[in-house]
Amino acid sequence: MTTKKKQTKTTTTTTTPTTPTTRKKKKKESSSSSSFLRRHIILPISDVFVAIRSMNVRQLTLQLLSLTLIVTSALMIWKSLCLYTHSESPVVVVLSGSMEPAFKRGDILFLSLKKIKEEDIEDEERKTRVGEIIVFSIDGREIPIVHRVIKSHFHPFVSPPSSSSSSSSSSSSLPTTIKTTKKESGENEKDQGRGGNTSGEDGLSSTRSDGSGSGEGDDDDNNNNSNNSNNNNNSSEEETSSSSSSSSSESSLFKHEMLTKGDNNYMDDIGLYAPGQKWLNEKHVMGRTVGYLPHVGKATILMNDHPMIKYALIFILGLLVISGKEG
Amino acid sequence: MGHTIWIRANSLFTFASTALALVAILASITDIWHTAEPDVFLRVKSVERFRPVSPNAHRKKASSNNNEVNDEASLNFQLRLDLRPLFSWNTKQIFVSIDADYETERNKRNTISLWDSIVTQKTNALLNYQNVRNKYRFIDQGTHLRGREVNYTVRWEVMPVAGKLYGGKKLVERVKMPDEYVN
Repeated sequence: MTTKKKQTKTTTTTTTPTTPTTRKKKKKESSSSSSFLRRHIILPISDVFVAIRSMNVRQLTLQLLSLTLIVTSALMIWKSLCLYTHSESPVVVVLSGSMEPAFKRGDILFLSLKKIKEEDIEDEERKTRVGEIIVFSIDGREIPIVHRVIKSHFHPFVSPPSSSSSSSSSSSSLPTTIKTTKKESGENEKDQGRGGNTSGEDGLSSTRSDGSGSGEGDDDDNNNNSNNSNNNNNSSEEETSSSSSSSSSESSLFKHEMLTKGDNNYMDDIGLYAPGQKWLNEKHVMGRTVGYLPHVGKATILMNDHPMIKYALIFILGLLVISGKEG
Repeated sequence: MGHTIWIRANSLFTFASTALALVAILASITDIWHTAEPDVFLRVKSVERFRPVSPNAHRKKASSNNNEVNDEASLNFQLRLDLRPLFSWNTKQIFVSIDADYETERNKRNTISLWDSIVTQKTNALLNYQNVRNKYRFIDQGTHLRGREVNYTVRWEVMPVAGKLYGGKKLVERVKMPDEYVN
């Protein structure tokens, strides 16, 4: 391999006119202060470009194929890790310091959503339990959060056999609507006086076993007024799609509401959730932590803060692979 | 082409990171068989306060459902826990918590963490607290706590310097909540 490289080098130097290279050498000798720069940075880069130009189409295609092979095998490893752990992002980097002293910025966490077989867990649908450190995302926040679950309220539903007739749609819509609109049902009841409800909402509010109570303070009024239009849209969408999806989507078979808190924080996470959101659901959870490696993620944080470094690195690596000079 | 500074730096970096990763994995493997059963004693001393609360009682965004009155209890525990056998060179910290779990008609399983603590050194690993009051509010979704049997579990989770997180727990007590509100 090295001999081949030397041969190509000699052929290029003989075919191209010698004057430019000798001129370069003279320049190198003349200014010693910048000779380090030229020798170690400019010359290798120009070597790379010369090597690329010297290849014919076939060689270039071969090199491009090897680059594609590297990229696709990395992607395959990543995807199989996603499948094994049942999680969309099996490896994450800790970005905040809210879980110190356990996790610091720059640590790597391995996540999983696989169910753990445990003797006392008879409700197999749950994927996270109190005490686990989970990574979750909040609507409206782009960065996921790593915190610990401190409260969990779980209830499985037994959905009646779905006969897809409209008469049973109101009862089969209960499981799905209760899970996601439970927090909004208090606000929906206020809307009944104003009309404009679908039939499912009436069914929902009348079957709530613990009466709605009359504890409506001024604060709730303000919240309700600002959230009403959103909640109405959400609940009506849920109900129209629920009769078709009540038996298919597994997320409709149970309700699991959780509250999280960072170890290093004094308050729990209610302030971090989306406005009006009081609980975390399993759909927000990206995974629970099963393994941990310190400091390895610092490079990722660096590349995140300065994206130019990321692009430059990929560009340089791509060039090196294509030119065949892999060091 | 062989010996520029970049090639040397590249080989050095690759070798160093591979060696580091291998050593870390091997080292964490040596800790796999280190499981220990710590000595646990927990007793619910008293239920100091047990009353229904409305969501706006505490903060604007209280951690309970809207417009709904929920039971809240404040408890006092006595806790003795010896975590020293769990410590090894690969232990960064141990997270201890007291969890309460119970079942209601509304929620098949409720688990609430009442208190937690982080132990980072073996010298601090012998816990002996006479009065532990719950750090986090024990609030039900609804008013189902009266006369309810609640399981109290002490849970510990070991966070390693590198490797797999593991832990254990012990169901210590099953105590019935008072039938009537207290205070």
